[in-house]
Amino acid sequence: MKQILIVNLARFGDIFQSLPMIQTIRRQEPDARISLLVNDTFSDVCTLLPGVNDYFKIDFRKVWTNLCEHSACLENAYEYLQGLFSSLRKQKYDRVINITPHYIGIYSSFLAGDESIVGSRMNEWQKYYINITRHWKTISFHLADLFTRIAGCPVEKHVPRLCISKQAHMFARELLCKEGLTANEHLIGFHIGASHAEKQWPLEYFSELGNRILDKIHARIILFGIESEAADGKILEQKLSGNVINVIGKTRVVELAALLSQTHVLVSNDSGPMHVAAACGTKIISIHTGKEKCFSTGPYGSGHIALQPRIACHPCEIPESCPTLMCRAMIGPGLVYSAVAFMLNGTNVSETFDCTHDLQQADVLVSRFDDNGYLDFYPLIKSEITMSVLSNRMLRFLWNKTLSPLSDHNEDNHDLKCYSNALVEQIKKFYLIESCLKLKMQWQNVDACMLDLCDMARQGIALADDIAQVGSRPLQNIKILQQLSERIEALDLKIISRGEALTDFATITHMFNFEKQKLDGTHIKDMVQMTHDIYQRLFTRCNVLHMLGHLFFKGIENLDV
Amino acid sequence: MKQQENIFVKNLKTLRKKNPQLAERLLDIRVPGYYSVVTARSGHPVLHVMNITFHSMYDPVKEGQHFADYHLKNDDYRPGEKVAVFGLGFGYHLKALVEKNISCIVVEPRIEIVRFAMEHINLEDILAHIEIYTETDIVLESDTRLWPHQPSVKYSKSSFDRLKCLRPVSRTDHTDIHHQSQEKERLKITVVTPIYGGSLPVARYCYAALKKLGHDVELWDASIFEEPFAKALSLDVHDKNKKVLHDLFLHLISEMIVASCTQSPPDLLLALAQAPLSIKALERIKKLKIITAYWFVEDYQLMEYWRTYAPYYDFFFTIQEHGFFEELKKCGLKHCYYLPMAADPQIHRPLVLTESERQEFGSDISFMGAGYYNREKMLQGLLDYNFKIWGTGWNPVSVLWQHVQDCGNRLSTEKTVKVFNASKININLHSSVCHQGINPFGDYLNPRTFEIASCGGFQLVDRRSMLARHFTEDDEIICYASLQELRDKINCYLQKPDERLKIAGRARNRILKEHTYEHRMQELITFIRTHMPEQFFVRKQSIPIIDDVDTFCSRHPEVQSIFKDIDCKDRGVAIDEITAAIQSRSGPLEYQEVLFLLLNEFHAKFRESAA
Repeated sequence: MKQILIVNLARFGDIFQSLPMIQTIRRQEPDARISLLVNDTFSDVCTLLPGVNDYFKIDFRKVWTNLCEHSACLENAYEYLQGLFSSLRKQKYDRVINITPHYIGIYSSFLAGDESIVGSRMNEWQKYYINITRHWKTISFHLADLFTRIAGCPVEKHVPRLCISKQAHMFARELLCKEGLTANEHLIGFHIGASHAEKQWPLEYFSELGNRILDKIHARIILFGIESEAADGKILEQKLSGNVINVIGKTRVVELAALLSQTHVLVSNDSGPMHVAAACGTKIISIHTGKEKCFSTGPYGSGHIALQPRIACHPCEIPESCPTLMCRAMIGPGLVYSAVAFMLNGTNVSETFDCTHDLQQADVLVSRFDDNGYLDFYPLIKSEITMSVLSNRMLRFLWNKTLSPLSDHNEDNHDLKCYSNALVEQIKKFYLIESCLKLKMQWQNVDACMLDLCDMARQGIALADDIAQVGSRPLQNIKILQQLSERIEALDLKIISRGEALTDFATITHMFNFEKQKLDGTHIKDMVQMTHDIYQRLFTRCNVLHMLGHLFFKGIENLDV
Repeated sequence: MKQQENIFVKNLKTLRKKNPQLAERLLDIRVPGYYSVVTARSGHPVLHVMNITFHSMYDPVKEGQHFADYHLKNDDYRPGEKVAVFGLGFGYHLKALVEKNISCIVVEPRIEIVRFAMEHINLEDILAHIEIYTETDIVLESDTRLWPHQPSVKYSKSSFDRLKCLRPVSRTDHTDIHHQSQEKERLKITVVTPIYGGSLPVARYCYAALKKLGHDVELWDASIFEEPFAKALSLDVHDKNKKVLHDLFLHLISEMIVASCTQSPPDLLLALAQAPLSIKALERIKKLKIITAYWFVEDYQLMEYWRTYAPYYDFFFTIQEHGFFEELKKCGLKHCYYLPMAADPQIHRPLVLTESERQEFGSDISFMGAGYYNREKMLQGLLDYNFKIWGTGWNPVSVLWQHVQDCGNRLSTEKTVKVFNASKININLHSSVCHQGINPFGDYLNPRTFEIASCGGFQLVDRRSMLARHFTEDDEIICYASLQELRDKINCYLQKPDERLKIAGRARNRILKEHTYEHRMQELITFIRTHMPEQFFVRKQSIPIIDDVDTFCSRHPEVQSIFKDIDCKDRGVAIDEITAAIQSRSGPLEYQEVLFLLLNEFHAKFRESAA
């Protein structure tokens, strides 16, 4: 029996977002034993995940106490982790998959048995993930899809469901019955909390939305959340004249899931309960402010509505120090109400969304899977396209094509043409073509930069080849090697600084830089080959983007506007 | 009333023999109306001020004896040792000490209490055996025992704190043993300067002083932003936009400071007045368990911005005291402390000037400072002298302008020191925006008072209520209270160069002995250590260490190779040292090495989330 360990030491929501990956692995390896390694605080949720055999936990609190508190004792922390990992090592895992976006996950995976995870031997998708967490704004995939790719699996248009026990369902039905919910009443859920202040839609907006719903729709509102959100819940309950079911802080995760599965629509910040609801099949209206964007952490599955502020600084790069948090106020309660009404009644879009002012300040997007099986979000109402949205789609193609060993790279441009055509069709369907034409000027700057980078990558390849040649001679000329290394250093600096001009596409040079930093090894021959490959990848990526942009804008210009 | 007068006269007679100056001063003291006398059950009078009863309401005599017995027993007192008692009250506790043949110093910062006690209690027996000081700026000798009379401490807490902080640490002091063990500990301190202004050089002096005291100090010099900041604010835009620019600029600098603190957290962050730290930044710095202190070297009644920031600091140091402390406490601040200005004797020092320098910077009388309203008015009365005015902000159409030097430009510190050295008489007049000349209610001393003295310059300074705490008038410093008095003294001292030299010399000695930035910084650290020892302890502990490497390696032989390159004889090794040692090694990572790297990652993550 194959033994697989998934290291997922991030937060509550990330555990639920790993569900599509777990399901795909399960389908590929029906007899495998799949185990999880999670943060103790969130271990309860593991029982809800289908396809998981067992789980292990790291007691973060214990490590914290031994490292940071008054009674800190490094010896104790060492012994605790040594004990934990030596028992994990004994399991002799065939595969260890890390989907934790920081080095705690990487080192934990190493200690659990995957010694290939450190340094340049890390898999390409894993490298992309670690790198992108430092440049979150430019992530091109939904996290759930990215996890699946890190595991080496293809994405599938499939939304797995949680295992909710009969007792939990019974609890939910009884509670709702006790609260007097009738069969013809809609049950609208609100989750008002989030892990950070910048991700929280203002409470007064929830209040205004709730009153509008109660006034116009035959519905009851149910408030979800954890104990620390109870005070806000009480305030909201009062503002809604008590006409709500308030279960904030009163449910275990399994009961929360059961109640969410009974909810018709959940209005939620980008939070853990939102992901639980998505895995329960509940329709969601999600609000993404601060550093979150629906494209990466929106509700997984098709047919959900995501709302995002239309402001240049979103998604925010420094949310913890934003002086205004103004993005939260840009999504008006009127707009969210329209989304609720639309989701419940499925009426004409333009009739439902008549709040013109709100539409100028925010994007209304609907989730659906693209032709390649990746989750995407498209505007509900045709709108202007920005370079950020366009780059997101172009980069998705690029990474999908090039985040694999170099030998697997498909030199055939057929898929490029197909994708370009599909992209043109998408833009035509969901965006205003005029706005796309306006982007051409910006693209030309990016394209010039791509061509420069292609040129520099070629120089890098040549330098790596020179080093290989000099290094292979019996009497290595150290001085020449030194000169060549210095030239490589200078070239890398040029590449990185030229990459800054790529703005939305800068992730390409960020990735180059990351790969360079991770370069390690003891034999000059291997190091030179790896250096060569890094430049080769940079060349391929810039060239693919250059060609894709060329084809795409040609296609757009050929459209009869 | 008659009896009261008799007691006072008798007491005064006794005091005069011992301390005639204090006796003279007491004659002019008026006791506020809220001071009262209540009678204990034993029939003895007891002082009562603002809800504080200074002695037992049952039997103050017995309580006094208990005070003496307690300290003699618990403080391991040996006959002949020196004792200082903080607080006079009505003297019952002192009487008990005198009866046990113990002579002592009594520090009573409220002179009105001395007067009131002398009006109501016959102190003749004890006055012969005690020495009363009404200043708290005295420096007790290191082997003097300090016994606090608790009700007096309650009433004059800040003075007691100051007295304690000024006191050198004694090896025989058993009450402060924990404090002593920390005293020599090297602290990591970040000093944050303002972008510009008067407190900018003060920040640099603090930095230098803390370094001299042996601490690991970093200067976060916000003045590098002066030019771009000024540029942003000089744009020809609406005030509203200007405010946005101003706030964003300060926000950016704040964030940079937070980032530095997160990267390498100091034990203490000391910000000088006008330092660009936002409330949000201060909250985040606090979460890093960094102690924050602010030295507000400005007039609290003139500059009110302290109200916004004070509640976010752990410690607030001021150059004013009583009224200000009450306001600060209303803001919820727990720890405030009077820390007067000072001088840096390495900068503010006597110079040998060349003849041309004497020509350029010298005059009979000079004034250095900005052209405040009261100065414009008052200095017009000195135009008949050989008079030079230095500094900025002077009105070019005023009659004073012909005396203003260097076109009213800001003078560098080096040139300022030359002026102080070259002038026969330096006029010092504290600023005011509403008085015609001298502010009769002025309390604090400006930096110039200390700087001129430190340069060995002779000065005439307007009389301030706090001056007597730092200098002895007529001996170390000469004061004036009106233009006429100022003119009289100028005329007098211009004729007495030797006298000027002597007075200035004594003032400089006083500076070197008590009023340097090193003294102030030592006080500041001592005060913080006394009031927040646990927090210092917690921060030190927050860097996890292996206490005993040998024992650890014997229990875990697999880690021995990691520690072989670390010099860990007789000391613990911190996680970051272990990490650095691992990173400096070559070859593929080993299991034990990764375990330590993981621990380091956890530590960094926890620290980051705290920020």
